[in-house]
Amino acid sequence: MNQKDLVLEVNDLRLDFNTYRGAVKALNSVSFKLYKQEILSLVGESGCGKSVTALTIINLLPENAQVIGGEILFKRENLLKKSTEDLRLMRAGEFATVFQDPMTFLNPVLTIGTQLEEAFMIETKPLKAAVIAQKSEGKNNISYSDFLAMKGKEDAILSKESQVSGRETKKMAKNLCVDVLRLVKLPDPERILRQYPFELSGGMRQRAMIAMALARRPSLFIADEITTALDVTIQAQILHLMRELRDTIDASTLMITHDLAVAAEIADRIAVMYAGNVVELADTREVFRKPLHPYTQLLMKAIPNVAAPVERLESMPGMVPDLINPPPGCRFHPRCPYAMDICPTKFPETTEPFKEHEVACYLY
Amino acid sequence: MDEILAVKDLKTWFPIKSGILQRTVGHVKAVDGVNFSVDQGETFGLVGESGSGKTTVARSILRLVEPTGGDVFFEGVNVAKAKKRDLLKLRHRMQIIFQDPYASLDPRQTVNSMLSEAMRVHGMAANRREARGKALQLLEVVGLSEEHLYRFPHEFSGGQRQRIAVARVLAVNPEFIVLDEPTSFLDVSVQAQILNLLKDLQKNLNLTYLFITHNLAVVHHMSDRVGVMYLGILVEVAAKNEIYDAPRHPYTFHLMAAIPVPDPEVQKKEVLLPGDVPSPVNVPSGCRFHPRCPYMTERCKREVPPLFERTKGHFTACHYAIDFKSGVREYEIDYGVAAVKG
Amino acid sequence: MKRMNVSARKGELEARLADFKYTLHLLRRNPLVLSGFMMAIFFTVLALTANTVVDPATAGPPFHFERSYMWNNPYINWGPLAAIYPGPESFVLGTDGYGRDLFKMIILAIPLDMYIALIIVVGSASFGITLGALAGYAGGKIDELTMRITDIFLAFPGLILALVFAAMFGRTINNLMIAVLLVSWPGYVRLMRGQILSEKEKAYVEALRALGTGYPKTLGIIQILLNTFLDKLVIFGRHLRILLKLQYIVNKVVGIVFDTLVTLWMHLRILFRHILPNSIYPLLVQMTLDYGGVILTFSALMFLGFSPSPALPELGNLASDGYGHIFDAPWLILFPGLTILVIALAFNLMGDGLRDVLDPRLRR
Repeated sequence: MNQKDLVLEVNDLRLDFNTYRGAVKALNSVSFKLYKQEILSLVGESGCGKSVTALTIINLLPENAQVIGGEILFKRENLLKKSTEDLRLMRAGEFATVFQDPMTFLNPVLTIGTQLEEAFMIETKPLKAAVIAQKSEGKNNISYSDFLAMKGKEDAILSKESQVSGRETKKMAKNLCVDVLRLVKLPDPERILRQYPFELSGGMRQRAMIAMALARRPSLFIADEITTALDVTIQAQILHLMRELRDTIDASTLMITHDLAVAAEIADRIAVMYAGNVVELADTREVFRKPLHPYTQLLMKAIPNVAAPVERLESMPGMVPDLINPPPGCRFHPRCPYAMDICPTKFPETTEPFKEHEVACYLY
Repeated sequence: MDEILAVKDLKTWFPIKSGILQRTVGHVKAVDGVNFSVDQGETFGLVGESGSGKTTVARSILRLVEPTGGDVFFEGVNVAKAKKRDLLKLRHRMQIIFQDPYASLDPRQTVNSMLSEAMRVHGMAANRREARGKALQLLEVVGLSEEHLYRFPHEFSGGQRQRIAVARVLAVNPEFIVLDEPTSFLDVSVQAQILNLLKDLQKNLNLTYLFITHNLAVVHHMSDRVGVMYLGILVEVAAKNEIYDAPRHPYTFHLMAAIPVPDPEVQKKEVLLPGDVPSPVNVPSGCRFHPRCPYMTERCKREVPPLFERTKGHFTACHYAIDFKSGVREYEIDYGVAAVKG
Repeated sequence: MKRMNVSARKGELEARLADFKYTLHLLRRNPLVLSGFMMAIFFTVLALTANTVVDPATAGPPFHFERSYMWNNPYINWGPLAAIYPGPESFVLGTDGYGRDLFKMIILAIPLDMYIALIIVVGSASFGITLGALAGYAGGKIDELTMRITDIFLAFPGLILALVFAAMFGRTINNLMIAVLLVSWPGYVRLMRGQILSEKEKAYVEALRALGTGYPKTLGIIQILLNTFLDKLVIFGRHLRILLKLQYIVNKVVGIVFDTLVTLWMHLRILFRHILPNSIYPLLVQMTLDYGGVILTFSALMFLGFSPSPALPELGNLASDGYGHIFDAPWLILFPGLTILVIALAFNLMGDGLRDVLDPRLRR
């Protein structure tokens, strides 16, 4: 992987939540890299910190959250050092997030069209540039892919011409709405635009959410458990869509899921998280072929696999640790079958025993 | 092996009322003619997506929801038509574990109170001391300890709450347990623990399970036989391996193809089912699956295919035999003189 | 057996202690709520001990009319219109129309008002809660009917009703209490019904039904007794055909009755033992808030002239007396009014804090 293609780099991120009972040490030390146009999946069970990591990147944390160390480098800039206003603008332009339950994240009293248009109209500059480009090139309609290609070149286009009316801008936004809905494979986009969220099924709503995310032409696309609430056949459709989009749009995707099988289907690389740490990070094939960290190994044995059925699932003893008083050193050592004396002393350094396969464990 | 449960033509319709006078304008046909039977000691898996009616089937069998028609024979007794006062005697033998461990326990009851109440209702314990003794035993069986006895539900994790639900069910000595998505809200590692626990209990106590879920991997692990539901009816019933390796109904095939496999080496053919999961208010004519079926014909639009036993123990509701690898409709099914139903 | 008991109980004790500490922490966080609590406690204690603090005999004859409407507290100057009491006794808050010490009268009035308000709130709440719970749980026509009746009562103007009562049945405290009670209960019905409606859909209710909660043992015994009795009867009069027919009919009737009774018992038990306690928290808050409101209403009615006796030490009554002397004896309307204000405020603030503290689920 080329260093030039590095989009996001998270180094030693540490985060606490300050609660009545004490500090919840949600992120102990999280590090990973995300490259252009790849899908990196953060996999882990509840409480491992995967959603928290994503929220930290886009700065949507609750008030009692406190970053106590590390850095988040997005296109070489440290996000933690930026102001709230700058980050808000970045959320509008660079990051796009789709969450798990589209029903609660879509406004139930506005039509899909209104909300989608609003997503486009956050920044009128690109729309105006699109109108100018359309006029100058004499096209009928600017498609979403053209709109995507124009990213970054708006200033050049705008400096040439002068006025674009509000009505034209709005019309461009509407056109793009239709086109982006077509991109996410929603049938009959014009009708969908007039419908309200409750009139759509779960899968369609999720596609509408993805469309809204795409309206921002993001560089970083965060998908937080987007298929968890969906039926299996719909989930397959959405995953297929994500795979197609990966090649079409210019973004890198951070896919958060607790389902290792979903990650296997769609991710290029997988980062396994446990109790606030990334314990293993490698190509998808590598992780499955040669899981190094004991947690990863046990996790795979705990999932029922249709292709390789077993009589009894191997389960890990104990429970996910309490993050207010986490186990010292390696947080997995109380449940680890290979625990050694050194494990509780200090958290193990991340090593790379094989090429492009990182792991944080004293066994390596 | 004896049959412990026989469901015959079970129908549960919910009326849709509208207007000021609340007139019934239609019905949600959640369960629309379901036939299957479960042998003692086996696990019958019921799968389907949302709207398929599997949850309603479970509740209708236990009569938590009044069935609109059909019979449910539990060890010879027709549960669907039994009188309310006789129902109680049956209740303790057929129990249910719910999906959401955070909602299925009364937040104001301690563990001891829950278990004791269950025992007292069915006369399993003579007095408080005996009830508490048995409660302690039950906690041990499900993997909890005595310090949990006087705690409230909100002090437990999801996995622990499910264990409490299991203990509560076991307190009344059931023979048949309906498991309605018992692990879908739990983490993977906890799910493994609970599933192992359920399997052990089944072996030790000779229980029979009706396992309802949308997670096809889990149902494959747990069940002996599987029934696939779509829009209120069963479209295929067979032994576990036959369903997964050699499905006959197009819906089953697509369902199996959609399961994400945790192994990137396995190259799956991209088989996508078009359209959305339909709603049970407007049921399509003929075969309910025909609007989404890639192999549909005119006959599918007109005729309702019965659940027909093509080979022993393997029932399918489809007019055709299809080779899914090549996508060819091989031949039409001739139901003969008497169409055999589930 | 005993040793097991101890360990379990100890765990319980620790848990309860931790809960209590958390309650205190929640209260400490909001100083307004805390002050409300303190004031409410203060007034309650005062109400309970008022008769020992002040000799109740001073409320009755003999009256000293030569001292009425006079002030002699040097710390406040009411201006030239106020009359100054020349005598040796000191009246902290001045005198009322009967020459009594206003301060003592207020102290005697507090228990009366608080006690009346308590009866009204508890009475209307009990009735309203029961009715609302039954209506919400039953649904259908029973629900409709109850709500329509409630709506009718909700529309009653409280003051007019009190007037009618006073005119028809005499101006006694009891009649006024009944009048206020009659217009207070509908609010509780609405609130309880709403809570029950949402609570009864929860999974644990279904779980309780599946468990078969609430089969009345006595009913079973009665059933057996009745059957044996009828059997004996038939054997005794086996020549009489009518008796057989009678037995058949009775069996049928008894069967239907028992069926309904069994289901009814189960529903009532689930409703009152499980659903209601879980839904009552907003109503407890409402009761506390209503307490202040009822005091206001009741004293307003007394102020308007519905008091049974003009010399009765009651806050509204005292204020009514002062109404005619606003300029020359303003203390007579001011201090009773202030007392009403403070009591109502105390309970309002307390009610606010109660919401946070009570519901075990919200506390997490």
